[in-house]
Amino acid sequence: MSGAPPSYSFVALPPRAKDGLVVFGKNSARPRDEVQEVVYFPAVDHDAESKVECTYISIDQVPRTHAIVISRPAWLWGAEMGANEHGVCIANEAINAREPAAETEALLGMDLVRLGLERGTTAKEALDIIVSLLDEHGQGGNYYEDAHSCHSFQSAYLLVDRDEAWVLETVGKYWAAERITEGVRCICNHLSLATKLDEEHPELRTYAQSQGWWTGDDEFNFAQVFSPADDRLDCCAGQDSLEKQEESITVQTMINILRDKASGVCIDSESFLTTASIVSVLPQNRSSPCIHYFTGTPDPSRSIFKPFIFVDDVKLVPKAQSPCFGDDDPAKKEPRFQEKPDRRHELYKAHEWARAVIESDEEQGRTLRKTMLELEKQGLEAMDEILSSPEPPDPAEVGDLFYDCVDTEMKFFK
Amino acid sequence: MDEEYDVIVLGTGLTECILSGIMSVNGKKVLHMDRNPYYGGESSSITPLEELYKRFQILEGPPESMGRGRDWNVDLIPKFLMANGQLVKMLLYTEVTRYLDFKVVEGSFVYKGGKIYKVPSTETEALASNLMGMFEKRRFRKFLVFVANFDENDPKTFEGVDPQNTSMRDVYRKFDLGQDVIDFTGHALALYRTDDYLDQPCLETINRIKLYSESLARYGKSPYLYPLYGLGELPQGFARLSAIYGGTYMLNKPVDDIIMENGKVVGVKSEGEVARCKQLICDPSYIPDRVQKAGQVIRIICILSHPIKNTNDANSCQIIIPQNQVNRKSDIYVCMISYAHNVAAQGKYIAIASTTVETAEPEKEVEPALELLEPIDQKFVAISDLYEPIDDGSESQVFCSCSYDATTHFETTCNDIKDIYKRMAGSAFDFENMKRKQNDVFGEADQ
Repeated sequence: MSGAPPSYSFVALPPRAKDGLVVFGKNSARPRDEVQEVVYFPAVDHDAESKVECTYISIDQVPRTHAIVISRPAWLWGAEMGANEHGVCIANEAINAREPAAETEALLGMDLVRLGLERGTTAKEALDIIVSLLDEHGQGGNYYEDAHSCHSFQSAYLLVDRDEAWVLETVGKYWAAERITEGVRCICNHLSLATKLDEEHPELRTYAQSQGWWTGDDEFNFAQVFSPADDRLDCCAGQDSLEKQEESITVQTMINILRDKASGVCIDSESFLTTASIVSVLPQNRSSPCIHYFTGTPDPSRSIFKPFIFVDDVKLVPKAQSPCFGDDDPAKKEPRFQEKPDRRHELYKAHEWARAVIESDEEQGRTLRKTMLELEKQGLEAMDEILSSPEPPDPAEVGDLFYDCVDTEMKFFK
Repeated sequence: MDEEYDVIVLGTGLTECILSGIMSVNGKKVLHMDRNPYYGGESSSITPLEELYKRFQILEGPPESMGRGRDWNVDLIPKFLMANGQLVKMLLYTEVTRYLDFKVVEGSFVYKGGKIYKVPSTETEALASNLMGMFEKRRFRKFLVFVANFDENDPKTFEGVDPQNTSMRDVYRKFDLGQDVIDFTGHALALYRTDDYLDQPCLETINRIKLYSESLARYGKSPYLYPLYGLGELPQGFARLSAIYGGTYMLNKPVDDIIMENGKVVGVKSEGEVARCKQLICDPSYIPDRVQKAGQVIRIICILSHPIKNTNDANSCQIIIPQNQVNRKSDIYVCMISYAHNVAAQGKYIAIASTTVETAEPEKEVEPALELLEPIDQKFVAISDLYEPIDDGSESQVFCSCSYDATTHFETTCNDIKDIYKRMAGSAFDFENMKRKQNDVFGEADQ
């Protein structure tokens, strides 16, 4: 069993988060050479009886899917994290549990993130959709684009909307969930649910008893029952980072946490890299828009967060999307992953130049870094104005917002 | 003297020297006189430095820290050349640049909220600048694309704007530009000194913004050029042009009287002799009874031992203080040049603050500019009257130039030249009029 990738997902709710804004963030840790893309899908009506091709399996499509914007490894169908037009954000975490994850191809955790976003109008509704699909189709399959080994994991999810957050942790088809209405919460690559369970699979406890993991006599503690024997249950660098913030949590706070390598929240190791990040701000006041910031490039400490706002005519951003190989994609053929095509998008390639400069040329690197942070700051300031404004933003003005920011960023990368 | 000329020119300011050159190239017999022993008049560069102190009656003269007096060439009128502007066109057509060297001014800055911001000179500089917020920048970019594409002869480029009727205020409104962006556009790009242009038809403003962009594109960095050894080189260059086409120059020649007969000029008397002419060109100082005062300009020449703060140690720059940043009607300008242009001793900088006078306390009016320049080693304060001619010369055939205004470029000067030319020659000025002819006396014709 290989170690689960050390991703971190965060939520802060008012009043712990500032100004009536729910703040959500995730660092996605994945294999170093993997490219993540940022993709927008508009809302679509679907034919009755139609199917949707997820990463490995095909399932029934619903009549209508919501507009979504997601960050995902370019080879798979689902998402590591993302948001929908209704202000729902979802992130997943790969987890090792006592019970090995199925290698049989089914739905990946990433597929369920996307399906939850496409179908749920609230965090709770998305949770119900995910557990229903889990029950119907199960979870399983390779999490990595690797022909030689199957890396499979159980999945946990952080689901957030303007009002509340839910932590959902799943083992096979069994699951437990906790509702969060205040304070801060982080989930990482360990089970974290303990005795406070607001929802659970109806057979969760009987299953645990039947496996001999729970006697039925003591209080049911989900993480204790389902974690591998050698897991250190109380360890979460992200939760520590979040809790020790003395000021109210803002978007900038969240960004700073995601950039922090000393705490281990930002990963740059031999096997894993934080390959993409997201921060979302969800105003409890519904007349303000939700704003979602994506990097689209590896390592948030060397990337900038760029804003996205849902409106009816969002401009597509080809430069942050990887090339599409259609049915010829080695990820779609069996046996899987016999080749590894170049999945780098234009922004990724431009950013490679910037990363090389930052690493090799101290003076030029520092100047470039400073310029990019200044650009990011201007974006954050503009978004703060939108959130402070009594009127919603002009859709014509924000439809090409993410497109423009990607385009601008690339102009600074030779 | 005691000869007959087509045109007599009095005063060797830039305007007069350019007109002298044009007239000579076009076959007129020209006599050019100046009461001073040097070229330039109001637009001269003062050298050595001791002369500047004397001129401003600072009796102790320059301290030793100023270095060799001969290293200094201090302009009395602070201006830069716009790289795609009319004066550069005149220089190129006349090939006067053959005798001159220019440097690109390193930057232009605009004052906002007590600080100065670089006027961006590249796209990435504009994107990185915090002179505007993100959404303002995006609207502004759309506006600039509109201006760049605008062609007054192609209605398809108009986007619903009427160049002769739509006011500039309405164009700004169409692009939803905020007040800060409007100030920046009108004062740092279109280089208007006041806000009167807002209610005028937009064509002139669009053309001015185009001029700025085209000048900027010429050399990068900034849209301005400056001649080594100072602006005084310019009138001399044009005077040389006039001379090689047969123009006669007399410096250090007092003008005792301008002789009129039946309301028409017939000659000039100097030291007892009379030179006769059909037409006369002069600057306002030669005909005080035929000009009227049109305001005042204050210019404060400051010598510094440091670049101006927040200009990235620029050796040369312009700073524009838009008038409503300091509750005035007219902008305040700062032009800074330095030893790098062979106009000052090593390590020294010359910054000149100027504006149109609006109150009885003009020095107080330029204080926001002087604060940007501190510490100042030495200040020279000049308050000049602005004159314009009373008559257009149609009867008198006396054509008087206007005084130099407070702008930091020569476009108004060139407009004055074109206007005088039209009144003298009876036809619109064409830059082709300045092209060298085959018959120049030194055989320097282009083949």
